[in-house]
Amino acid sequence: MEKRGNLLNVSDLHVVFYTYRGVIKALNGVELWMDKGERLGVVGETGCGKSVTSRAVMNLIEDPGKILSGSVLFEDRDILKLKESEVRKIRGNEISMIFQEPKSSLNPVMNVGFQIAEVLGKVNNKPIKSQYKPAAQMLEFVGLDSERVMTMYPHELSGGMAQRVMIAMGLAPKPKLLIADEPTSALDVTIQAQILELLDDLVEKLGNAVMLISHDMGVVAEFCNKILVMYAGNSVEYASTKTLFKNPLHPYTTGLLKAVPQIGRTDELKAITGTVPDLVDPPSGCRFHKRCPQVMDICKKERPPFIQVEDDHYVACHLWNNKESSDEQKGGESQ
Amino acid sequence: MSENLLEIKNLEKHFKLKKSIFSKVRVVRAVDNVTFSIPKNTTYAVVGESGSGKTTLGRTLLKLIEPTGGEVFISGVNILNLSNKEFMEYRRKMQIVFQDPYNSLHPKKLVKTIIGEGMKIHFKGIGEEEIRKRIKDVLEQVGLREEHMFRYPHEFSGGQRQRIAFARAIVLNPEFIVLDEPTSALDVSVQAMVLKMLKETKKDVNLTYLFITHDLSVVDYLADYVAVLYLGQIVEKGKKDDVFKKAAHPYTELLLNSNPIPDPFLNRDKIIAKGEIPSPINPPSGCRFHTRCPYVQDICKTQEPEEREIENGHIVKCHFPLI
Amino acid sequence: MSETTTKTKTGWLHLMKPYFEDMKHTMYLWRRNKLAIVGSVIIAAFLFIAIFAPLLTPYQPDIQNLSEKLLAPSSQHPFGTDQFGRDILCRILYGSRIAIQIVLIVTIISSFIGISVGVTAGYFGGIVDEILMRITDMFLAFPRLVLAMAFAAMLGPNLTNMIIAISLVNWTPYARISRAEALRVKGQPFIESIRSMGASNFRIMFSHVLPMTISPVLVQLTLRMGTIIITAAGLGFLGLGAQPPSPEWGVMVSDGRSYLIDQWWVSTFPGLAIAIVVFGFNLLGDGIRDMMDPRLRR
Repeated sequence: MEKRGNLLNVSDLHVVFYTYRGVIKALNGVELWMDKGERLGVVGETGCGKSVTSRAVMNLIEDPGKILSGSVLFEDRDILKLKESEVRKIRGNEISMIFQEPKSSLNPVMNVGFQIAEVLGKVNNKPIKSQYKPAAQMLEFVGLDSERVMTMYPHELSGGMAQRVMIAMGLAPKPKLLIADEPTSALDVTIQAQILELLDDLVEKLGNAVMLISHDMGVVAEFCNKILVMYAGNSVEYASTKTLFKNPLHPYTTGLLKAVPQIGRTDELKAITGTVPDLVDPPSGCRFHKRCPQVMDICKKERPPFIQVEDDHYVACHLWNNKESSDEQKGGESQ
Repeated sequence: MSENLLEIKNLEKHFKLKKSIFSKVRVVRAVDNVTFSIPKNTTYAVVGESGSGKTTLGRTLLKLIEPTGGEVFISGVNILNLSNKEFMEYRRKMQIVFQDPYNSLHPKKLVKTIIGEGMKIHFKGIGEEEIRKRIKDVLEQVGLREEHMFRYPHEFSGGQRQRIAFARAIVLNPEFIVLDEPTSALDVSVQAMVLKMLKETKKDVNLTYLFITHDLSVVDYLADYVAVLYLGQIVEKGKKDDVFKKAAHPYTELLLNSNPIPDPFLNRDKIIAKGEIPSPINPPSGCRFHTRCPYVQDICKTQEPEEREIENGHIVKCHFPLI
Repeated sequence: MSETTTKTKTGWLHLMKPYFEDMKHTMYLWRRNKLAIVGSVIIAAFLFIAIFAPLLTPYQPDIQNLSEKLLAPSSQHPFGTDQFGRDILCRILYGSRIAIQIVLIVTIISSFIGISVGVTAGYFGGIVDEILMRITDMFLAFPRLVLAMAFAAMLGPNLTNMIIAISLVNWTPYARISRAEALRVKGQPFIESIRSMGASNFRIMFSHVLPMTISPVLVQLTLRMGTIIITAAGLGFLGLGAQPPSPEWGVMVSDGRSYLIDQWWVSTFPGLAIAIVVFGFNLLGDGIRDMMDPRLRR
């Protein structure tokens, strides 16, 4: 297994969920990696597995879900192989997470000050009472009036304020990696701009890496320097932001970019035909083959590997699997 | 043609809130003195964020929520004055499509029943065959198939459900459809499909749309006219091209700037407004936007601005318009 | 013509499909829940003996045979005989038919009353809701058995009146549940949509809101069946329900009261039958309640 990133390396991750309808094959060999200080955008539509991947990174997959195989190397340790007590030391400390609905992620019966102090207490291994002052500082750091907000309860906060509190809690331990799962999807657009600006500012100062999960191509274009595109449980394309938008290689990425409306855009929107597949009975081979305008025979039979095509540009597609497209006639095998 | 299908004048919807019999009655001015006209066969977009009143506005036009003031003229008739019986004919002509694809279709009914029920209500005595034929026609119009009418909503994806909801809206041959954030809950590629369907059907069937949304990119794709709402008031309105290219209100400018652009090569300065969106229960005095406006001056805090026309129909409500 | 080539698929089975869909998830949880399975087995046995009662016993429930009176349990009479020489096992088997009859009819009547009240109250809200809910509260203010006794006594002691009396006491939880569903559902877009079409309130309530109450009410129905049997047995015991010589289990228990010490089997076996069936319904109900718990429901 190559180590492609110096901070995080997710390799061949397979996750399933057992439900009354059958077994949902949610992650089908996901590959993801990050360097220190990097901002990775993970984009995809419903069912692509981006949220499941983020939970798997923190080993938070619970019944009825199960991690079948794969590894999550954080620096040098495989999180999936550590004991729960070891993982707990990493969670909320070296890797922290913020979620989409800030008000439901905060404890409704404790005030804001206590919740931040609690995080700090755990991180610094000190009693919670001693951490109120640093907690107040943290609130100022995220642009809130600490005097007012320390004693407020989550339901009294607006969406933007609650998200700022979440960011404070997420960054208080000065983590090496912050996972942000659709942090602004539930916010109004002007508040979203504020929060993204804040995050940008803080992350510059702290230097931590950010994994930003989003369905919004605009948000990742503005915030991230690298992008991973996921589809139906697989990684399908990875490149720097500029490269991805200028030169998308995977037909799904191209389709996605053509479907996004943009102010000032003159060409007509193009939709991708078909619908996202049912993961209980996913298509054989490449899971995108039924909707792909450039589908070939091999796509129905073999899952394309996620390989490097150019400098820092990876794709999982038979079109770019050089050996494949030329060997197609001979029925050769991919590497 | 520039003949107006709808003329909305001073429309008002105030909600009374009372916590207990001892507290004072507080009023939410959800829709406050809104005036605009929708020309026939156009798409008129209404944009705003939380508390703007855009959702209430849409429902008030269909009398799903009873307005507390103002007039709504359809082809010259004030529908707010009509009795329930008189209004029935207008109900047929005005339809609505909602945001949530998972709760807009009755989970226990066949698609056929969902789409066909309106016909049974409005075309009394219509035959079963006629109904089936009409349902088949609209299903094909929205890109689905005849056999889909025998299925249940849960068998369809979000995008397909929105198409069914739209089929339900057009089956009665309406003139006007309120689209309340119809694609906000859908994936990007599905959204594109639904938007294209909306655009094409409008041409084929001669419809007029009121499109409610918070997403300016979608407005750019679909709309001919746009009105920007803030805390229940229209702060700017006009032809979409005028408003987008020559934004006159600081809030419009902020909205346009906050909209994330999927283009990493674009380098633009971000305008970040300070503060939270105020609650519509206690809106700021004077110009409601003054608490967040980067160009605020003293008069803005005390005096509500008047509407000024910039040029042919482009109107802004601001003391110091940007144009 | 498309009408002839397309299958219409609007038969009964197809129309029930969304309720079956709900069931599929339920069945999955069912299989994983031991309580529910044990309960189901007991109830299945109960249904079986009710249906096949005449085939399972050579005796008749109402034929007296004084030469065989008060015989202890033996291979000829596994549960013994009563003071009229009637085979007790046979009477229990026939009594199960009465029990089922009671459960079914009471369930139907009380769910009808309950859903009507609940949907109307929930949909209209305001003063209609207040009035209907206060009426519901009035029924709830009395202990169920006492109120049932009062109704049964008022109407006169026989099986039909007992069924009516229990129905009048059993509808309140269905009203509560359907009202809750009506409240939840009335703000949903699919109701707003049909309202914007100009549908009448009646149409909306009974064609759109009511179907949504069926699944939760169905759960409650099963939970209540055990209590219906106990109430019926209680009223039968007190002589306010079915009258002798009916093999209703409560009546049978009452019949054996004077023989309790020496000929214990006359009251005990019918008592056991009541206990086991109610136990079965309770297990089933507990299992269902566990399944409905959103935290456990996966």
